Amino acid sequence: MGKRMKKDITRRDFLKTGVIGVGAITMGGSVVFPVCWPGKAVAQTAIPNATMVVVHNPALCAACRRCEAACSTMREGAAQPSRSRIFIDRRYQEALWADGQFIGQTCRQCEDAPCLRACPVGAIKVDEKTKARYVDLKKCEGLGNCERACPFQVINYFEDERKARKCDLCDGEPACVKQCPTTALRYVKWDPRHDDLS
Amino acid sequence: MAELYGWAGKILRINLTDGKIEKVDTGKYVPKYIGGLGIGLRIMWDEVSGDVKPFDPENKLIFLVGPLTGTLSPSSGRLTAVTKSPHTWPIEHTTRGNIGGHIGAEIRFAGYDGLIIEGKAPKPVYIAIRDDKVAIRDAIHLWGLNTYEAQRQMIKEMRDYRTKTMAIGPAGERLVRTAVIIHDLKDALGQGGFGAVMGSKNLKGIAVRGTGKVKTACSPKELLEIVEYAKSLIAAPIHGILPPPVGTASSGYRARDGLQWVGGPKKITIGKVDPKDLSRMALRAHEADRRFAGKMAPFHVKNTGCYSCPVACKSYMTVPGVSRFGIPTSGEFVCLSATWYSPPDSTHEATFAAKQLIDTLGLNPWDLVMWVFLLRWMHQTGKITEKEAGIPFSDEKRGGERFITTLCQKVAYREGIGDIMAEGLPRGAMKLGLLNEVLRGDAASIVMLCSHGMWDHYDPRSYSQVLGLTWVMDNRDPNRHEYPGMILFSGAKFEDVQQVAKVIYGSEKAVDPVGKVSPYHPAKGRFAISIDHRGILKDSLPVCDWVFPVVMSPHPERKYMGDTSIESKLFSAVTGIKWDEKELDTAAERCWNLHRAITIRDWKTPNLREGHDWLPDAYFAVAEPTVAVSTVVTAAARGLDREDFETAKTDYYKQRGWNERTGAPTRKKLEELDLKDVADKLKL
Repeated sequence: MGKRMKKDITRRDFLKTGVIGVGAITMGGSVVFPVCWPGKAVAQTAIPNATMVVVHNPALCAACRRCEAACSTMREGAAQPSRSRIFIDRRYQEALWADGQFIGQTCRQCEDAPCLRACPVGAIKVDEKTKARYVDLKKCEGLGNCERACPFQVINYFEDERKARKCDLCDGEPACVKQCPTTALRYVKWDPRHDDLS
Repeated sequence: MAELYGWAGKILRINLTDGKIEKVDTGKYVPKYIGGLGIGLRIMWDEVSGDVKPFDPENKLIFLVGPLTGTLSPSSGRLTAVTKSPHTWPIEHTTRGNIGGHIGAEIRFAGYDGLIIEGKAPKPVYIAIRDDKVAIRDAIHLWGLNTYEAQRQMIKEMRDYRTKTMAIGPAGERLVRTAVIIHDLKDALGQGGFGAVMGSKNLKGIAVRGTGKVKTACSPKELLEIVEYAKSLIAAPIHGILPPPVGTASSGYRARDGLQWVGGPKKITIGKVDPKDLSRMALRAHEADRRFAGKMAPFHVKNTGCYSCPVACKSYMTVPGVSRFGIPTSGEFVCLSATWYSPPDSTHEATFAAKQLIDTLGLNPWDLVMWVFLLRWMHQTGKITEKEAGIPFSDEKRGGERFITTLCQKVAYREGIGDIMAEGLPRGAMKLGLLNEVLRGDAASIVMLCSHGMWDHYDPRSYSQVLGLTWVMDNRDPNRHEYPGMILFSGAKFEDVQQVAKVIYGSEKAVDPVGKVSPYHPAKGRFAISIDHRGILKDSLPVCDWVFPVVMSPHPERKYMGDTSIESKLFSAVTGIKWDEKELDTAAERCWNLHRAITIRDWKTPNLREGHDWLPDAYFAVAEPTVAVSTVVTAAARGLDREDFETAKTDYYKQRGWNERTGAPTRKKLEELDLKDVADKLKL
C-alpha cells in the first residue's frame, strides 16, 4: 500500500514539474526545442541546412560493400564494416532473397537534425564547410541519445569506446562515394526530399 | 611475436568428434606460405597422410582466407578450401576449391585466418561463430533442408541478419561425390566434392558473424593509392578490355550503346561505360548478355559483386515462372552455373530452374553437364530407354522442364540411375561400362572428359599446349583465365595480345589464336608456369581469377599492357613485408612444389609423368566443330600432336628444375625453396 502511495506522489510531482516546465517555455517563447533539457547546447537558433548529402540507389547497388570498407578504412584506419557510417550489410540478406534491391542506409543530414537536438552535451555539431552534422569525439560522452533519436538508424554507436559516429561527408570528399563502382552512391546537393521518410 | 598486418594471427581448429575447439598460430606459416591455399597445403602435408580417404574422419576440411581479405584490395573477398577430394579421378587426391561472396571476409572480420574442421560429428551439427564465440550447434532440424532453407534458418538462429552462412544441400548429405557447398544464392565451393566431405563429417553448415577489423601496415591513404592504380587497369571480368563491337563478341566487357538491364522493377539504361570511368566500373559486366545472347538477358536485374569487388560480375536474375517447381524465383549466376542446361529447344524457365536446382540441392553443374550429354547420347544410340533411366528424354523437345528437374532430383537424392550419376562422371561411366567410350570412343567428342575426372572448360586443342600443361599438372581443372582471357575474352586484336605476351612471357609465340595451335615453344611453358604461380597467389592472397593477374588493360596508350606486379604491391602494402613481384612468385613456387609433393604422396609414386600428367586420347584426335558445348569452344581444330605434347611436358619440368623423366621435384629444387623437410619425407 505504502509503495503505491509513494508512486502516486512521484507521478503527481512529476506532472507538477512538467506543467511548470511547459509554462516556462510558453512564457519564455524563444526556446524552440526543449527536448534535451537540461542540456547546455539547446539549439536556440535554426540549424543551417547541409549543402550536400550522400544518397543511395537500391536499383544499381551491387552489394559489394566497398563503401563500408572504404568508410571504415579511411575514418577508423582499418577495414571494418561493423564500424562504418554507411550501412549496406544490415539489409543485404533481406533483399538478396527477395528482389535484389539492396537498400543502403546513409545519413540524410536532416533539416531538423534530431541527433543534434537529442545530444545533451552538444557533441553533435554542424561543420562549417559542408554544414554536415558531425560528432565531436572530444565532447561525446557516449550517452547514445543520438542513436535513439535518429529516425534512419544511421548513427553507429561503438559499445567498447562508448562513443557515437555518424557520417560527416568526409570534409566534402566522401570515401564511400569514391569507391562505389556503380554510381549507386552519389554525392549530391542537399534537398529537403532526401530527408523525407517516403 | 611481432604484430601481424593483414593476417589475423590465428586459425580456428574445430574437432567435430569431441567438440574441442582450439586456436592455431598463423605466425608459423606466414609469410613463408603467404596465406590461404599456401597454408592449407602445408597443413595437409603436415597433418593428413596419403592413406586417408576423403570420407574418413581423419580427413580435414580446411577453409582459409589470406592477408588481403577484408581490405579494399579489388576482388579480395574470396575464401579458399583444401581437402582430400572424393571427386578427383582416378586417385582421390588433395585438391582445392574457392568461393566468393561475403563469407570469406566475414570469417576474417571474426578474427580468423581460417577454419580447420576435423573429425566427424556423431549427429548433424552446424558451426556458429560470432567473433570469439564459437559453438557447435545441433542441426538435426536442418538436415534434409535445401541450401537456401538451411541458410535462412541458421541466420534466424544467429539472431543477426548480418550473419553470413554456407550450407550443403541434400546432395552433400548423401555424399554425392561432386556435391558443392553453397553460400547465399549462388556462390559455390564446387569442383572437388567439398560438399560431400562436409556431409561425411555430419556438418550441415557454417554461420559466421564478425565485427573485427583488418589492420594494414601502410596508411589508408597509401593503400588507396595502390587500389586506385589497380582499378584503373582493371576493365571488366574475365579479363575483358574492349566491348563489342570493337572487341570480339565474347568479350567480358559488355557495356555498350543501347545496353539495358530490363529484369528489375525499373528498366535501367547502362549504355557506354568509358574504361577510364571508375565510378561506373561494375556496370561493364553483363553475364546474361555474354552467355545467353538474348535468351536470359530479359531477366537480368543487376550486377552483384562479392565483398570488396569493383568488378561485380554476378548476374542477379528473377524469373517468376519457376516458383511452380518449388524453388526461389531469384538467383545469381556467373558463367556456366546458369547455362549448363540450355539446349536450343529449352525454355528460359527450364534453364533457370536447372540453375536454381543445382544451387538449392547443392549439385555441381560442371559434372552434370557431362551427364546430360552422356545420357542423351546413350538414349540416342539405344543404350538406355526412358523407362530404364526413369528420365523423360522426350520432354526435351517440349522445353525440358520435366527432364531437368527429374534429373537433378535423381542425382541429389541418389534415386535409380541418379545413384550412379552421383559417383561423378568417370566413376559412373565405369559402372555403366562406358568409360572406354567416354575417353576415346564415340562419346569422347560429346562428353569432353579431361584429366582428373573433370570436364574440360577450355579445350587444349583450341587453347594450345599452355592450357594442356596447366591442366595436366594441376590436381583439378585449373580453370585459370589468363590465357583464354587474353586471346578470347579480352576482345583485343590478336596482334595486340601478341605484343603483351612478348613483354610478359618473352615471346609472341606464347599465344596462339583460338583453334590454331602452333608447335610448342618454350614461351608457352613459361606462360603455363606463370599461370600455376599466379593461380597459387589468387587462392592465397586471395584475389579473383577473373580479374588477376592484370595482364591487359583497356588503355591503347599503354599498348594494352596491364601490370603483373599489382599483387605484390598490394601484398607489401597490407602486410608490411616488402616483397617485389619476383619474391612473391618465389613464395608461390614454393607452394606449387609443395602441392606437387602432396600429389606424389597421394599417388604413392614419384612418377607422375605417365599417370597424373595425362591427357585423354580424345585430345589428340580432331575436334569436330559440332562439339561446341561450351560457348567458347571452338572452331574445327586439329588434335594435339602427341610427340609435341611430350616435348612440352619435358620442357615444363626442365624449366621448373624437376626430374624430366618422372615429373617430380628434385631435392635441389626443394632445398632451394626452403622445403628440405619435404624432400626428406619424400626420400628424394
